[in-house]
Amino acid sequence: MKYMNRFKIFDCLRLGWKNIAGHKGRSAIIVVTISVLFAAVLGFNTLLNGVERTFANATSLSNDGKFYVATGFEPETFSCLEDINERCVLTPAPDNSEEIIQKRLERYHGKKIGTVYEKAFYWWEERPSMHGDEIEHIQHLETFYVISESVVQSLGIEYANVVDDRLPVILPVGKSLSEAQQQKFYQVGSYPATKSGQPIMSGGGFMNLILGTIRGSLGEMFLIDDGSGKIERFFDGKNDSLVSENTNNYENRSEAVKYDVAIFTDVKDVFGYYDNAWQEGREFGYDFFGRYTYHIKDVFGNTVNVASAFMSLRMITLLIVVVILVIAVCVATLTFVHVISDDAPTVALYRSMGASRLNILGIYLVYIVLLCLLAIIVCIAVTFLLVAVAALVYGSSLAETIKSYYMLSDFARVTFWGYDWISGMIIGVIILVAPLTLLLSLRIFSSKHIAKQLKED
Amino acid sequence: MTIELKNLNKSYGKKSVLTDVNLEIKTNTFVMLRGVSGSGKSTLLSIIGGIEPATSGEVIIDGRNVSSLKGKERVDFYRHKVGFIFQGFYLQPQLTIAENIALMGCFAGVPRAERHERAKKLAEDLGIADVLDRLPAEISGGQAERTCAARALFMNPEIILADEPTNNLDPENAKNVIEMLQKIWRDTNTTMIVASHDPMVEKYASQVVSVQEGHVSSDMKAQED
Repeated sequence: MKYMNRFKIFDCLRLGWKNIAGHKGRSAIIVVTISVLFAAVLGFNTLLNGVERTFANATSLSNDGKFYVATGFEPETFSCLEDINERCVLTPAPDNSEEIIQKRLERYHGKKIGTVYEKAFYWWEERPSMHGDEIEHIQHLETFYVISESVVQSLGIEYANVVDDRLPVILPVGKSLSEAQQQKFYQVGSYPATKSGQPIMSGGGFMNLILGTIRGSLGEMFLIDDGSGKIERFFDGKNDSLVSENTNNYENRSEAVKYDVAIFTDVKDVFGYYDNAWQEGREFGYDFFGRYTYHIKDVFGNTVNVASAFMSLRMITLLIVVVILVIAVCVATLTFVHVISDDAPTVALYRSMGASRLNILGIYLVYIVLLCLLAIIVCIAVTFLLVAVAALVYGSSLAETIKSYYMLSDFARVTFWGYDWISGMIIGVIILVAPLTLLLSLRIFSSKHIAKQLKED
Repeated sequence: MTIELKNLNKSYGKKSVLTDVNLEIKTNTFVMLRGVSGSGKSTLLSIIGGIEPATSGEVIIDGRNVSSLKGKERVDFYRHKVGFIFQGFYLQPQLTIAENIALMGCFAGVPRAERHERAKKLAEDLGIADVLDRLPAEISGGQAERTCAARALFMNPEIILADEPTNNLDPENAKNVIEMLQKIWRDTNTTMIVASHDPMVEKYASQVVSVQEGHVSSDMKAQED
């Protein structure tokens, strides 16, 4: 008989599949072990992405689809911390920073609409110590946020300039000026804000591990720079505090740090703008000490805070994922190596029948890939189950927490389901187990090993 | 198809299993490789069958030094020339008897319909046609042995190698198996090499090769009917 001497793919698939069918118990144990291990990781990541999407929905509703983000450079301030009497020395932003920021904004559909700057004042109060006549110096920091008029107009706040020297300000929803503040400021509008602190759920269990990392919005008063020069006069003449009555010393200890304010209309763009900053920010020439500190902050709301919280969680998760994946891959690979080792007589039989090493590798590759595919299906099913349970247990209370935290009249867009590149990586790693296993099992297919196995049998 | 072994040596590390083996097996001979357990006869069988390489020396089959064959050439040679009957059957539990018989055809690229036909014909010849659709767990030991023989014959090999085919069988079944091998040998004009320590096999063999502590000696004998 003369044939093509070609082992057909169909036969390879059939023999691989028959291997699974012929060892149902063994196959089931392998599939369940791998899928449960990976489902734990995939489930947590899915949940994390789902909660992130939920908060993205909430922040979208809260901000009415407009997201104000401060973007720019904050100079390093180490010298201020070392000696309070030394004035901070500013490190200038790189020359091409404007251009790079503009490019990044265009990439994420952001548009510059104005400016915001922070002006910090250190002051210290002198008071008698608790035990005697000595005088204690307590240091305080007071920060003012100033936005340009164009940003206020974008919020839809119309106001008329008043003639006195009071400064126009906007406040977070629900806050008003104190009597002392009314001497200096007058409120022209308000902006959407969250409650202070974290959105902690009562009985939230491990969900609070996630929620505890989310910060609220600034909740600060924004002074409006209407271009009349009032702001400069206010800061120049500042020699007392609006916060404390006991201020004896007050000193302007830093220059104003100025950022551009950009507006986005899609929460995904804000997340993308923030999440990819560390990568794209390399263009700014970061050095080891973070000399150029590229900052992206919320102006109103807490969209960037949410993005930041989930990015940090994702980094921690990624570390845990990598550790679990290494364990899972080791377990899966060792299991497969053991299985193939058990099958040495079969391998010997195939070899004696004229199967090439490649033919046998093909059969076992199909066998393992099919097991991996089954494991992926079970893994996704278990993940669905985990997410469904989480939705059942935490769904309504998370909706209530968010509604209250963002001061929304209604919120029904809670989801625990989401995927990202880590999800893809987890699935990819399950598939990678197959070739890795074969690589580690190559010696089993060697003539020497087969002969040894036959002797032992 | 003549088989010649020239200056063949086999060792595992420092342990020598076969030493300077020189042997000639003529076409259409029923050969018994005789020796106690651990004498090296299974190793000799594996080397002839190409499962295991020799440490040194030559294996010449049909005038061709097959010990120097590599890769595809080697695979093709053994696929068409040699059929193996293993001691432990090694039937694949997940495959039907028909699929087990035709397994070798898969690797050789024999079309599926032809594989099925050929398996059916072999099963009829060996009296196992009624179990073709069963799994190995559902047939008797004798039927399993016949299945192994049918599998070895699938590619019409010119050499059949059987490793301890009567091991663990009762005398009656052992006799049946040997008679079956003898029938196959006669009907197919193959060279049959049986490694066994069973004295009964000797009665059917036309050439007896004694393997003792790695050394071989051969005797031709008049065959008994």
